[in-house]
Amino acid sequence: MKFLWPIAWSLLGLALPVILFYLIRQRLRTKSVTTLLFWENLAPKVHNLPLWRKLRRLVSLLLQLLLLALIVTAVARPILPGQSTVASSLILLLDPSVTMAAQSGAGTRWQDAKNTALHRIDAMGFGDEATVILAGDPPRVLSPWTGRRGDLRQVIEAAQIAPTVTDIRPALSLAQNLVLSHPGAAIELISDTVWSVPPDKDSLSRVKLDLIGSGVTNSGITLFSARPLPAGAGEYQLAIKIEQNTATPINGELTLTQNGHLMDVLQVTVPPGQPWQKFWRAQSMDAVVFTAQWKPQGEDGFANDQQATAHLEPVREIKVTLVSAPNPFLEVALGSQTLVKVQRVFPAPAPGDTADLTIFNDTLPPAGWTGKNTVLINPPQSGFWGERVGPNDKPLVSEADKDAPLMRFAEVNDVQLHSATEFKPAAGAHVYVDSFGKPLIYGHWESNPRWLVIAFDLDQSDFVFRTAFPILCANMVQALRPDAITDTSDVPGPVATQLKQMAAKSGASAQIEQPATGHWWVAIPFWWWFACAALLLLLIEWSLYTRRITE
Amino acid sequence: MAATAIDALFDREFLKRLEALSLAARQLVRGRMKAERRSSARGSSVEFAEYRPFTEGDDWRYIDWNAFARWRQLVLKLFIEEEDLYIHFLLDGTASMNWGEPVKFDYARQVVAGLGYLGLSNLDRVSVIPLGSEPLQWWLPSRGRERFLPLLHYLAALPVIGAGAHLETATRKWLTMKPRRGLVVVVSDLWGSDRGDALRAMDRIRYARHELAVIQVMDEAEQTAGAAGEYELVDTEYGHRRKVILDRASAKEFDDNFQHYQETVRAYCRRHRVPLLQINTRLPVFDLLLKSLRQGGFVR
Repeated sequence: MKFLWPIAWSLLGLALPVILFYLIRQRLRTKSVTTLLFWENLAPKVHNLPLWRKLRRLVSLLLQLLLLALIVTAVARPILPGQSTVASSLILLLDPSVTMAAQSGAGTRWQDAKNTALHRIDAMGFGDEATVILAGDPPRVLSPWTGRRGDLRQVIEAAQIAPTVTDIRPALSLAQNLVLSHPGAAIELISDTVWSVPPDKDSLSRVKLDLIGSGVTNSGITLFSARPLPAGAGEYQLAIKIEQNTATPINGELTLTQNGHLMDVLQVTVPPGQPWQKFWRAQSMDAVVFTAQWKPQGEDGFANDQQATAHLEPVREIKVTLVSAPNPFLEVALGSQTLVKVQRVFPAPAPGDTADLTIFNDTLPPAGWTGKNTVLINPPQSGFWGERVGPNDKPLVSEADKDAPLMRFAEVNDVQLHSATEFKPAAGAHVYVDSFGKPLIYGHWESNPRWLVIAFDLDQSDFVFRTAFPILCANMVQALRPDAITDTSDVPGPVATQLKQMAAKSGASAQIEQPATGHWWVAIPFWWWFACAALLLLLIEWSLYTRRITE
Repeated sequence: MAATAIDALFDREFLKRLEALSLAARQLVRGRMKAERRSSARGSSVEFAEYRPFTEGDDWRYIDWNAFARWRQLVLKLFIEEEDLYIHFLLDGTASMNWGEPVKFDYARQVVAGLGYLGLSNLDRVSVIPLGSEPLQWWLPSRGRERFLPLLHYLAALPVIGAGAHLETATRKWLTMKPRRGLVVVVSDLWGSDRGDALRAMDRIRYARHELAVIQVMDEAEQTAGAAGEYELVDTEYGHRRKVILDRASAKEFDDNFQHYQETVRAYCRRHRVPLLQINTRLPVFDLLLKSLRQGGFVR
């Protein structure tokens, strides 16, 4: 047996004062009395003590010396044969992926991971130091380098699981950088290896991997979204997708609620290897909160993906300012839309106008125009929208981007144009309708800042008589609604639901070890046993001492 | 440590309460007149005692001529003489009294002062004999209330006698001085050199034809063995040492010994009709004095 702090043996010198105090304690206390008349013939007297009582005094002294020896042994930090006597550095990576919430035996993978980390901390020797990193994205250093196991235990016990599957790569990179400042430091990763992106082999080299958990049966919601449809104000589409990770179908019950009211209950069978999905389409002008609850039949080891929530924002009114001479086509096409308020001004919008959309028809925006969404119809000059090249007489529509949301259901191929203007679009512009290389409708309408150029005069075409005209106007306005973005529930996702552990294929060079599953007393430091024995001896000695004078 | 300053031992409150006690004593000892008590001496009074043959030198005025006419013999008619009572306070001043809280010797001196005041107020002759002092320096019999203040000074100046005093020896030494017979009040803890020392001392007093009364003064801590442990006991009076292990059994044995000794003293006093008060110093002095008045035998 070796000792990490052998100098502690010098504390055995305390045996001398122990013996000294023992001798002092043997001296009787002097007590003054006024008479000894009543103390005569009292038994027992000290000099009449039986032999075994005298021996018990000696046993008491021996116990005290043994007590001291055990305490000194504990302070000297004994280590078992095979344990390293050299101080080491440890970088402990704790994977907080949501999949760590999956069941593992009686507990969860997260509890197993914490226990493994705590056991690793407890196994630290004298002078060892460690740092704990929560391997999320971004990684977070829970504890800087320290040898104080109490602090390390505290941060590990307080660590929280993440809501999603993590990307382990930034944490591995951080750990590799820490090794540069602590040469020889060991990296230990405690994970179930369910990662959003598997790390490459190089980043896993020199990493000791403590694999947590085993395969569990699971099915869950991998997608739940509410998406407004551009077809009309308030129209939306609700989508849900359920996946599972077994080779046999899983049956269950799916419950949907809308603003807390039951919306639908479905008996669902999720086939193996492919998702089960369904869509609902409806209309609502008000805000809606959808919830989905999935209750699979039979065993399920991961509950975090069985509930999802999606939000739908209320449809708000859009203000349109039409800067134009009177134009009934435009005014009707815009004003007939639901929750659209049209205001026509001429020749320029009022200062401080807060319209969501400003349409300049045969006019130019004022200098320094900073409107949010701008449509220019047959602009007479160049501007931020592009450079005016020249007239484009009797152009024919040669191509239209029907996939663009702006042009959805807008059939413009047969539109007759008398005259148009050729522009060289500004950088970043997208051409929606083209006439043999000369853009007729172009701009930047998919994201902010939005602007659109219709490079022909509406009055000199039959565009306003065609159904494509109000459809284009509707697409143009509906694209401005802020709720046009799909609201997707924050579910763990397909990777988590599948719970596929990828250690074997991604970490070929990694050393995969199961966490220690020994008895609880294995984790107790060796020297603790000496301290416990010393405490036991102390109690025995005290018992002997008290009994000696009271029995 | 026993007090030596008179103010510390007998404060103003003590003296004030003594006066009240004196009034109470007159009510309790109802019907008695000053210096009224029987005496073994014969003298002039109205109460007939006996006849005695006339001898030469006798006062012829006391010849009973009626008896001469009947018996034809000269006889003297004797009457019970009324005289002052002598009250001797035997105050135990041995080292064992210098102990406790309050100190037993202080307590005993206050008791003597209180009873002495009652005696002086009653025109009795009061003396105080500090048992154990060598040579014996006692307060000679004095009479009258004006002697009370000197008595207090005397008591306050009394030292605790050194170790090794025997109650019987000290009593015998006082008796050899042939004090006038009277009432002897022993104020002591009765811890002698052995269990019979105090009883022998009381025997000697009785044999000298004194009336005897005993006040046994004890400290509460003396009546129990105390906390368990190993001790070397030191007798404060004789310096004897004894090593003991004090446990439950030995504490019970101590208690038995103590109770047996106390019962022995009580039995002695019952047998010889000796008034006895066994008190500990927790009892206020004036309560003790009132108790002594009610019980009787300590003052007249």
